[in-house]
Amino acid sequence: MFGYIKPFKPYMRFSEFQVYNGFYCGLCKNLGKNYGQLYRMMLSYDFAFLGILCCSFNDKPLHFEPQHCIIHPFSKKLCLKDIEVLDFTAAAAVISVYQKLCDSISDTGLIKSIPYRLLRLLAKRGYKRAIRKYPDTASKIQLEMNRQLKLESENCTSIDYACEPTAQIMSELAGKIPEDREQSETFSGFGYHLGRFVYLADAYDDAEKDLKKNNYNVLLNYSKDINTAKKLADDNINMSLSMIAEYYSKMKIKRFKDIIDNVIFLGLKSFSMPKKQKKQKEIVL
Amino acid sequence: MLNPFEYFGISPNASRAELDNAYRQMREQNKCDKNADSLIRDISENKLREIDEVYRQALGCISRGERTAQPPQNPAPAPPANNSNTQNQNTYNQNNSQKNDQTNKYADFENNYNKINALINSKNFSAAEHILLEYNLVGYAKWHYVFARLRFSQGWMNEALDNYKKAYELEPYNQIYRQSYENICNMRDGKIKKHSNKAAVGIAIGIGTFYCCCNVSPYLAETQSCVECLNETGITSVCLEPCADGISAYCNSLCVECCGGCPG
Repeated sequence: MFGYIKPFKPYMRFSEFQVYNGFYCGLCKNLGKNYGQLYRMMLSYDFAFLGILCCSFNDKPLHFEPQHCIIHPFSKKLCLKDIEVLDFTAAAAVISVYQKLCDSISDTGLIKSIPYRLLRLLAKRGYKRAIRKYPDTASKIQLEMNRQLKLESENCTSIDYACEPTAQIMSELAGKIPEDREQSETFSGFGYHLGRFVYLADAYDDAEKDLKKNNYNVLLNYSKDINTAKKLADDNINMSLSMIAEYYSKMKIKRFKDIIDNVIFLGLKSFSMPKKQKKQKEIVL
Repeated sequence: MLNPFEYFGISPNASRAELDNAYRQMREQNKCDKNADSLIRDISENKLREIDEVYRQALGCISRGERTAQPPQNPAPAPPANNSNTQNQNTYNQNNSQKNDQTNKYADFENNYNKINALINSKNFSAAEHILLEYNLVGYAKWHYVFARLRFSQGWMNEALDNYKKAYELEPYNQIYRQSYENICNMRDGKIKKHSNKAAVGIAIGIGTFYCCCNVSPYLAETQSCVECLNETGITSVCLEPCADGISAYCNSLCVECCGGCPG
């Protein structure tokens, strides 16, 4: 579910990528400071994107500074200093990761879920702190996750209905970013279709695995043939991407437009590209 | 009444592309100058309306597969009646009353059509959904169209696509249904409407196809020009007149000269 909202590196300027990483590092520091070291390891670029969206809407000056990092001990990387602006993003990350853990536990069998249960025990303290800070967001996310479990157990066949919980979660997270009502509605719509995209991309990637293991996958409920299922996912993803672009054009973003453009127009669509190029192929220019 | 294919000067077995070409040519010939006399403009407008009407009939002919010289009739949306030819008087009366109920349901739906649209526009989705599912007029194009509109506004794109497709298949000569279906098909095929600089890069790398805001040309157009007459002077007045149904016609990036008014 995480890792689908990422930048398209081949066509991103190095300076933009440094800023993007700055947000990632800043989020990492915020999580370590407020929620414990465990959540630092479960960070992903998705939440860095949410952080950028949060900051793109206002004009508050942000300070970046080269700092050390445990993962990169030899070189300093640009990192965000004012990590308070990422409070909401950090809480959202903690809540989402915890709920995903619960989801994984209910999906796997008793023996295989032991490491997950252990992780959940360690993560519970940070989760409780996040709930205290943002209670309504947390309760909404919990509600939607319950709804997701219920419709999976009922073997839901409608794609739109199955995408609904993830879409509503993202819509809720995105809607909290701006302060005025009209922009909040646009951001909600943007988040809704982003959530649909994430769910469909996840289903697309897991289609083969789910077919073998006979797990729940809403695409396979339409047809057992992998190609038809993937084509259906492709169609719906394209429609959601179109709606994302439409909502995006109505959003009044003040800065970091280049980075957000890269993620939305290039990064999202490249989810089906192979993640690591094992061997560089010969190209002709 | 004249055979629509004869009107355009093409053979009855002409393809859709040939019909479109002939239609466009005829419109070009009958368009008058902007600064012409008001009498001449009236005559020209009447002629353009006539051309549109005959084009719609020709499309209807093609979709029904009728290629003879028979003049087509305007098909009215007839409610599917539950008729059964029995000798029994009671059953006959019962069938008649069932037919009356169904006709009442359709009439009721027509009366509430504007109300349902207003609910969708004000984002009151659950109420609109409840009313529409109560009617459940599957097989009636208008019902499918409004249901598709509701699903589209809610974000349920798969059901919206299915219902727009159904509405178009049931009434293919209806320009609004055709345009809505074409629009959502473009979205499904990866043609993003709004342009951006990164979109140009997307074309170069081969990630998706990006269309300009008119959804017509595959290159990025900075000017919002009318796709028919490429009128680049000033802002294009796109057709936003509410049609007879009470909902606005779909914005098809045509200036008022070329739009030819609302088909309703």
